[in-house]
Amino acid sequence: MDKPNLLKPIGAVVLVIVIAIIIIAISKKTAAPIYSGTAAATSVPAVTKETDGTLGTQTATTTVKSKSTSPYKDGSYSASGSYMSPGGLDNVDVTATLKNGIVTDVEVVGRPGDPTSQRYQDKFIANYKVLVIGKSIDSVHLDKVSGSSLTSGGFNAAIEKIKVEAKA
Amino acid sequence: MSSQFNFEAIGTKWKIDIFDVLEKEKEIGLEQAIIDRVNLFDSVYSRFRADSWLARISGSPGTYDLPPDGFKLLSLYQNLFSLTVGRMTPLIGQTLIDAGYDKEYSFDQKKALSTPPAWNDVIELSPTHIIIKRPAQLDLGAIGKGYIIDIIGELLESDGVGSYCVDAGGDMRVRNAKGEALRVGLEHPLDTTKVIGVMQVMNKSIAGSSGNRRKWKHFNHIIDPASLSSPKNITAVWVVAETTMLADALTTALYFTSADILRGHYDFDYLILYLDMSAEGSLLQSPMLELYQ
Repeated sequence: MDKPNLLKPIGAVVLVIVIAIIIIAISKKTAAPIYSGTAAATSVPAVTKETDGTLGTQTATTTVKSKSTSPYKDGSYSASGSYMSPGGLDNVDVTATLKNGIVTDVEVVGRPGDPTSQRYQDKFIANYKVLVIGKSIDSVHLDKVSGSSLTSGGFNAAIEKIKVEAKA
Repeated sequence: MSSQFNFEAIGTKWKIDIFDVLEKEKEIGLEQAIIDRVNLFDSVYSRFRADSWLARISGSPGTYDLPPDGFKLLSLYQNLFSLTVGRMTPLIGQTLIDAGYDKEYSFDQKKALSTPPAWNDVIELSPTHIIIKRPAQLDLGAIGKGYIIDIIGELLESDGVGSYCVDAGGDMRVRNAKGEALRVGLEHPLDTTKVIGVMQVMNKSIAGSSGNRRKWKHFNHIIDPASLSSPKNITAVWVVAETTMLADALTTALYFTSADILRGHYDFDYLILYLDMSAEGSLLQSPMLELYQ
């Protein structure tokens, strides 16, 4: 027997297990983490009573700023991403909806009228992707950091200069 | 005890860690040899130096002998030019200068950008020579740094160093004879106080590309010849490969063509981070990557 024939029954077994988990989850109406978008939608958390309106509810309408992340509660997380650089003009608003620890929706608002945002939302849904939130460098043990190339003193000085000019 | 060399060269910060024990005399000699080699590379390939070999061949058509390390560098460019259908090109030099990324770091766009010429209109490459058919500003910035990192790594190896990390501004070559991995944080492209994950790197190279530091007005260090603008949808790319030259080159190539096409030709793993902070790539399946979701 070759590989494809072996894989098919295994795939079927996995599918059955996933369906079973979803059914169990729905029947118990549990709010425990369920790793499926459709199943998660059925386990709507109960709305807690608002005392005097100052405290939010622990529902999907909670809005949390990106800096107070961990642990991630259900809700809508909005982050305004402005590039920390001299151009400083590029902004993007990202809203991610989390439910039971999984991302159920992502909304990106970029430059007005720019179809790019929509295209990437579509791509997000179509492809296997994960939403990244990040952690403070101070909270992680690291030997090295890789990202944009650290620049030399001359480059930095030039960038500083145009930053000052931009303000003038 | 280990040794560490820190210096600035080719427009970036170098940090070289040697985990082997070195005698003081050897350490001093090695540090000087490294700095000399980096400066030699700069004097040959820098776009920012009027006296470089690159500046000379860019300015006047003719047939030139390639430097000993030239073919490896330029032939990779030629292959990636072809795989990206001309979007990753060493002929982007004038476009970068016109956008403001010039010798003086003016960051001031002086005129409308023009499309760079096609490879075949300017360059004819052979293993020993390069023919420049008409003046065109070459820029080897997308691969050069990774390549000089490899050259320095090989210099260390030829001197008997078994465990080291050559880090130039966040692109690095890691070799470890004892099989220990380095924990490399992947910098959050929108917030440099954060990392989006940690990649354990051992006996490989990692390179990252993001426009957040080399950025001015509405440009960054990558300009797409097709649109004459800097890519905005991708905010960061990381590549892990056998050599730093390949890793560095592919971070740029991934802005311009699909990973599937590139993986048909090169052996590497990658992570692409988009503007909406979603990530995709073969590194998502790597047990060496821990991502902060």
